[in-house]
Amino acid sequence: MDKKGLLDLLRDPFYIQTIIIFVGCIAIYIYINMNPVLALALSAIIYPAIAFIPVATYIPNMREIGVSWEDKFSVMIFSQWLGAIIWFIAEVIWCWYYNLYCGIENPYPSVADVFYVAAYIPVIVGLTIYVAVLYRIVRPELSTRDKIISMVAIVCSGIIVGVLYWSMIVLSYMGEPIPPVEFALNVTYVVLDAILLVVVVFGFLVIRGMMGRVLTLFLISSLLVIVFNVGFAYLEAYDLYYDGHPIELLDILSYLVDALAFYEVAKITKSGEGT
Amino acid sequence: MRLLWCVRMGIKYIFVLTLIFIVSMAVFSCAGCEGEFNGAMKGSYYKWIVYGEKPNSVYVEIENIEYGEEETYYYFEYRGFGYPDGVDGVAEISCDEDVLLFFNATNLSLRYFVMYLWWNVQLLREAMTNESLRIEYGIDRIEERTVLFSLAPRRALYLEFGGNKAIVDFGTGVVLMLEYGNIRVRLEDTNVIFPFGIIIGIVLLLLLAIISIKIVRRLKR
Repeated sequence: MDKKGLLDLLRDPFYIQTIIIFVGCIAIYIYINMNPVLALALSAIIYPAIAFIPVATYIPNMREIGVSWEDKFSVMIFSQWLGAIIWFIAEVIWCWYYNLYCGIENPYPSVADVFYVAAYIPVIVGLTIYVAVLYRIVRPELSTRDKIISMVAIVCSGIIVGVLYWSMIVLSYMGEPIPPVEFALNVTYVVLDAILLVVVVFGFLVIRGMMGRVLTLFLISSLLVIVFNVGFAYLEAYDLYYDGHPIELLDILSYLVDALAFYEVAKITKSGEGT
Repeated sequence: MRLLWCVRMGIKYIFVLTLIFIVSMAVFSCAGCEGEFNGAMKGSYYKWIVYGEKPNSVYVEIENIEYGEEETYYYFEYRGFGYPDGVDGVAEISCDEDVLLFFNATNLSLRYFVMYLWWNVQLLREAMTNESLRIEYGIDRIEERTVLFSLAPRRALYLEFGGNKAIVDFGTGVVLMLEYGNIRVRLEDTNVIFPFGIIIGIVLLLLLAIISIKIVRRLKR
C-alpha cells in the first residue's frame, strides 16, 4: 500500500473508530493493571461489546452479499461472520455469565470453551475454501522451487507452533495429572490453532499477491488469535492468567481487525468491485 | 523476496512468543505460596450495614498481600463491631486454603455475627454435595440462588446455620445478607462487585454496534 492509500485509510471514519477503540482499550488495560480490583469487571464489560462489532458491521450488507456456493468469496464472508457470532456468544458466556453474574474469574475450562472451539470450524472451513480457489488461479505461476519452499514453511510452522504450544502445556502439568476435560480441551485448541496457522501461512506465502484486503485482514485476525491462544495456554497452565491480563489486547485487536475486514466487504459492495 | 518476508514474519512471531514467555516466567518465578481467599484482593473493600447492633456498620479493606513459603498474609483495615475506631489486622491463609471463615484466620478477636461476614466459597461448594462437611461446618442447608445486588444479578449461596441465615456471594464469598438472631446485615458498598456491570456492557455493545452500522450505512449513500 502506498502512502496516499494509507492516509486515505486513516481518514476513513471506520478506521478512525477502530483506532480510537483500540487506544481506549490500551488505556483501560493499563489502568486496570494498576488497579487489579477493577480488572475483572472492566474487561468483562468491554470484551463482548467489542466482539459484537464484527457481527454488527456485516449486518447492513447481508442481503447484498448473501451466500452462494458458486461465489466462494461470499461463502468465506458468511463463514467468518458465523465464526464471529459464535465467538461473541462465547464472550457473553465468559464475561457476563461467569465474570459478572457468578463472579468467577477465569472460568477455564467452561461452557464458553465449547463456543470458542466451535467458532474455529466455520472460520477454518471458510478460509480454506476461499484460499483453495485462489490457489487454483495462482498455481500455474508457481515454480516447483516456490511450491517446495512454501510447503516446507507451511508444514514446519504448523508443527513448530503445535509442538511449542503443546510442550508448554505439558511442561506446566509436570508431576500432576491433567484433568481429562482440560486435557481434551488443550489438545483441541492446539490442533485447531495448528490447522488455522497452516491456512494463514499458506495464504500469506502462496496466495500473497492475489489476496486482496479482505482476506489479508481475516488472516491477520486469525494470526492474532493464534498468538493470543498460545500465550493464554501458557499463562493459564502456570496459573498466571487473570481476567484483564494485557495479553487480551491481542484478542481484542483480532475482533477489531475482523470488523475492518467486514467493513472492507461493505466498501466492495458499495463500489461493486470484484475481489 | 517471498522467502525473506516469511523469515521476517517468523522472527516477529517468535519474538512475540519469547517476550510473553520471558515476562510470564519472571512473574512465575517471583510467586511463592498461592494460598488465596476468594474476594480478597489488594485494594478491595467491603462495607456492611448492620441493623440491630451498634456501631451500625462493618468495614474491611485489604491493604496489602504478602506471599510466604507456606501461607499468604492479608493485611487489612477493620472498622466496626469490637473496634469502632478501626484497627489493622492480618489474616493468615495456608496454601491448603482450608479456612472456612476469613475472620477466623485473623489476629483480631472478632466474634459474634462478624465471623460470618466472609466465607470460603470453594469449601461451601464442596459442602453442598458432602453432608459430612456440612455437619463439620455446622451448616444445616445450602442452596444456590440468584439475588440482586443493586441492579446486578448475582449468583449466590443461601445458607442456614444454627437458626441463622446468610446469602453469600458466589464470586467473592462475602455476605450479601445475613440474619443473625435479631441482627440483620446487608452489604452496602464494595469496589469488587460492579452493580451496573451487565447493563453498562449492554449499553456499550449497543452504542458501538449502532456507530459501526451507521458508518457502514453512510457508505451506501
